[in-house]
Amino acid sequence: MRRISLVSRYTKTVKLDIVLGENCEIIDVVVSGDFFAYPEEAIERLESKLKKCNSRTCVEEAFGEISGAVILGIDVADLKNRIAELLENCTTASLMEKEKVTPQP
Amino acid sequence: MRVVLDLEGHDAYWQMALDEALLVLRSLGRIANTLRIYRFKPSAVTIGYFQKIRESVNLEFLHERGIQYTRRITGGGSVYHDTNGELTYSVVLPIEGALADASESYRVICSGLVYALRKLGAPGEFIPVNDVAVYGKKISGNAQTRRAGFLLQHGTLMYATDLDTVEKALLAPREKLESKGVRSIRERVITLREVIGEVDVNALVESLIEGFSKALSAEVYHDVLSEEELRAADNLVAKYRSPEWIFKR
Repeated sequence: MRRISLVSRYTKTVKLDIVLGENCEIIDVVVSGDFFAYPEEAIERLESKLKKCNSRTCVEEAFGEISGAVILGIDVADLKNRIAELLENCTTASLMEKEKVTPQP
Repeated sequence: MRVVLDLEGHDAYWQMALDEALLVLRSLGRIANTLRIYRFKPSAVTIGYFQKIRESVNLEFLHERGIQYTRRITGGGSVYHDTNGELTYSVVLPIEGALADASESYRVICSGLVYALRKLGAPGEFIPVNDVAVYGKKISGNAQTRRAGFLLQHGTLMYATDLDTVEKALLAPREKLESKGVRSIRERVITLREVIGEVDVNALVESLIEGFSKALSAEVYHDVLSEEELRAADNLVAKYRSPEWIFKR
């Protein structure tokens, strides 16, 4: 498991505390900050939908769940992209790590 | 629009419970549009709905000073509510007309604060998303929640807040301060007293009522809380005192 904090500063600040599993899937995520969301529950829905995500597609689907919400102070598209990139980089790093330990014939 | 004053003040749990109760009762059609102007007594800290308490306030300092703290139902940042130097307002309104758009609604409601400040000689200006500033420094922070077609917005007006306590009580990430071109919270904020000298609180209250009346194009009348409002708030106080709510994030 890896714990990662992703802090993004827009007009407001948002922080994602993410726990990644061995297969680079999101095990847990908490979204915090001084931004505004209407309804507020949209953020809790997003947290819930992001769990188990391990790909850009999944992240995009999770954000689709809150597309009807109004979020002030955050660039939602940028935030979505940062999470997707985090998962992609994690996957790449894990693959490289696995290649390193693969026994040579 | 009715106006309810509480200048003697009540504690943070009660004030936050009453604001939520008024939103619920307004959305149920049980009360009229309401403006409250009140104090936190004793002084207290509130944090935004999405904030992590341990990353937003200096809990050790608050415990040492016996300063109460709770979480709001509204987003935004942490605030120190000084009994002797800050007034808080709250307003519950239907979401209609210029208030339909969330960003615009902050501008509309905050124009009441801007009016009051200017009337008293301070060149207030609205800074999106949710601040009012004088000379580029924050003098008022505002936060809103929306439920079932109605909104609650509450906000501060620092007229003589003890800014040393603000500096010690609240935690602001260094990067956030740098992005605003300052090194400390103290450098980022200003009080009305620093701008115009000693503040006549009664004149400030009257200016705020006049300002909100103009901002919302509403005739105002003074009123007191009903038994139903008091009961509804009483029922919510335990939530605002509870560790489950305060340490939710």
